[in-house]
Amino acid sequence: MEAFFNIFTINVFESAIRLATPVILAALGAALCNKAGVLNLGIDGFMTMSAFVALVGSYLVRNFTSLGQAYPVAATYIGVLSAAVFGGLLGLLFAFLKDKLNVDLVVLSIAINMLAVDITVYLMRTLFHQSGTWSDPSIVQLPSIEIPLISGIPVIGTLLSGYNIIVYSAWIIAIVLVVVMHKTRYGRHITAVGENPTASRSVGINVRGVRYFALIASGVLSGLAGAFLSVGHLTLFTRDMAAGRGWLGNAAALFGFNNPGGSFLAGLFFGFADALALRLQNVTKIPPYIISMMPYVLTILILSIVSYRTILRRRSISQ
Amino acid sequence: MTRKLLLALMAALILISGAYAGGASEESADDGQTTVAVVLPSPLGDRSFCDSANEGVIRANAELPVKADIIETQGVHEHENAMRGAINRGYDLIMGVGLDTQMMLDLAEEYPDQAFASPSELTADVIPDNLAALLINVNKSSFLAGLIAGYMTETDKVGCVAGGDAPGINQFYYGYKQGVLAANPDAEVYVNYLGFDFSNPTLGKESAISLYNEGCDIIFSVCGLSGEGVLAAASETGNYAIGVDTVQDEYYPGSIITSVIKRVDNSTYDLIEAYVNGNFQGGFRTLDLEDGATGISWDVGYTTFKDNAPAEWAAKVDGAQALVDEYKAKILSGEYEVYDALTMELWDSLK
Repeated sequence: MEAFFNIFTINVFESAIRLATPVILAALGAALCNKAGVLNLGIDGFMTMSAFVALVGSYLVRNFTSLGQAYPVAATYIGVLSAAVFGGLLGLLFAFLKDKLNVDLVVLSIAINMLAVDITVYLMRTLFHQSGTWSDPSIVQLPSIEIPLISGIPVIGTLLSGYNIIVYSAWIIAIVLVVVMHKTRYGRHITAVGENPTASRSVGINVRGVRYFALIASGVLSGLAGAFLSVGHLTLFTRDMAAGRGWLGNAAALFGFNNPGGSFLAGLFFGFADALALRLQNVTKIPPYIISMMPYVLTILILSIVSYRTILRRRSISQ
Repeated sequence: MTRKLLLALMAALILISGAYAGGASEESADDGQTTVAVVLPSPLGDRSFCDSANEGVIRANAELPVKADIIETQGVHEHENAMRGAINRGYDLIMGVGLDTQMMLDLAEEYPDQAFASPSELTADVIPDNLAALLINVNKSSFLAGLIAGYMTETDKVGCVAGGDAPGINQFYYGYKQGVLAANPDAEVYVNYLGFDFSNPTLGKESAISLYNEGCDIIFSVCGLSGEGVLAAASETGNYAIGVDTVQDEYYPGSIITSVIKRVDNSTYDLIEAYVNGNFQGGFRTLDLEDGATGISWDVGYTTFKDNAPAEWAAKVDGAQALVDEYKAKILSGEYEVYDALTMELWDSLK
């Protein structure tokens, strides 16, 4: 039993939180869109492009403005901000195309996802003459921040403190979204628009506004997620940097029933599974195949239990 | 109105992109000189295979009576088209670097009079006569890197982040492990597999951090682009790493001890040279430490680590180099055998 608990060191939890952050952000964005009835499957592509924008933004500000030369860290923060804005603009583009031209969002998402990988490689190549990886030694990583008071508490302090601003943002945004969705009028409006846009319109809800809000917000969240990958956790960009995390976010949103709280936990779960898979390889002799399979097996298992419970509940209601 | 404008814009874009795609006029490659086409799996600038093959091509163009062209592709969906395009343009020798094995075999069968070659990463049970397939064995060079890690480690724990549990990757890992144990029988070797995630530096970094937390002080990174994360973790945590495929010592000077390199430039050049000199030989061959096709970055004069590492680590370089030289001589004379994951059952001593 002691050996079992030995697996869960504080490092595993820290690693899990870092690995989970981009997935959580993507999941919150996806959940919001799903609730508002505008399926956004382009999050993975948003993330890849934003990751690139964050790094390039940091690089440009760092080297070509007096502010960046004086305060390298400020350049990185501006890079993160530019990625968030860029993500938001992509969301706005989605919303505009959906609203004005009634473009099928699934088709649009496929196009964006395909474009994302190639356009970043293309730009990396034309601007920086690299195609696999690009980084510049002048760019500094987003600093870790120790939260005063909390960081002093043993164990909890190490666990909850010492991450960069994007990690904390993910937590705060999750809490804000939980409050908005469950406690405010606007949250109920979002759900109503997703359930039945025509009925919502007839009672005077601004359907268009809700859709614009959901898509832009999911864009901003994917932008932060992308920035976390390129300047938050590393200081480099590689081809296909999102590596399917956007899709994982979409899955986590469904897993969490499109509730912000559930999506947050689902994202955390995927991150934890990854961290645990790494840890288990160090301390056990379980074959790596089995270990890397576990997150997916666990997902299927949990989903089965959850949907079985839903069936049971429906049955008890109908009786 | 706006809709019409948008439609017109889209139509114009399609036309323009079409014009660009078809615009490059295909000149005939044949003007009496030997011509070679080298098809790359991805664009240049990958700091790995493609750039390395390109160096071989540049050297061949400079030193041999040959006109060798590089054909870049954007990914797997373009590989076959690029190969067929090269065939139609009448190149004498067509090389594919790290392309799909089955496609290479099929093309060689379909065009029996065309000479094909692959400078690396091609193995199959039966290889046609018009295809020269080379495989660079990396177990011995990884062994040398393992010796260095085993010699230098201060915690008696070293790690390896491997892309996936497959023979091609394990050839690196077990060679390395054998080297570590040869230099330091008390050392423990940890391995983390990434489940074939070769372009996920975030996961690579977390994996490395997890191994460093375990007490490892040197990690061998064998996981493609994910390895960028491993190297970054070494530099960030004040530990050490060993690079792979190309010389990566300079990415984080002083943190990367050495790199296990595949000399795809040499194998590309050698294939072109053999063809020009009329010595083209189809079939499968492996290249090894003996052929100069693989080695460590120290062999080709890189002293980045020695020049930049903290004094006590830099001081160990000479001792490690002596150990490497000693074993290298033994390996080359056949006195010492290194485990090869591609062809052997796993030895008990490495389990």
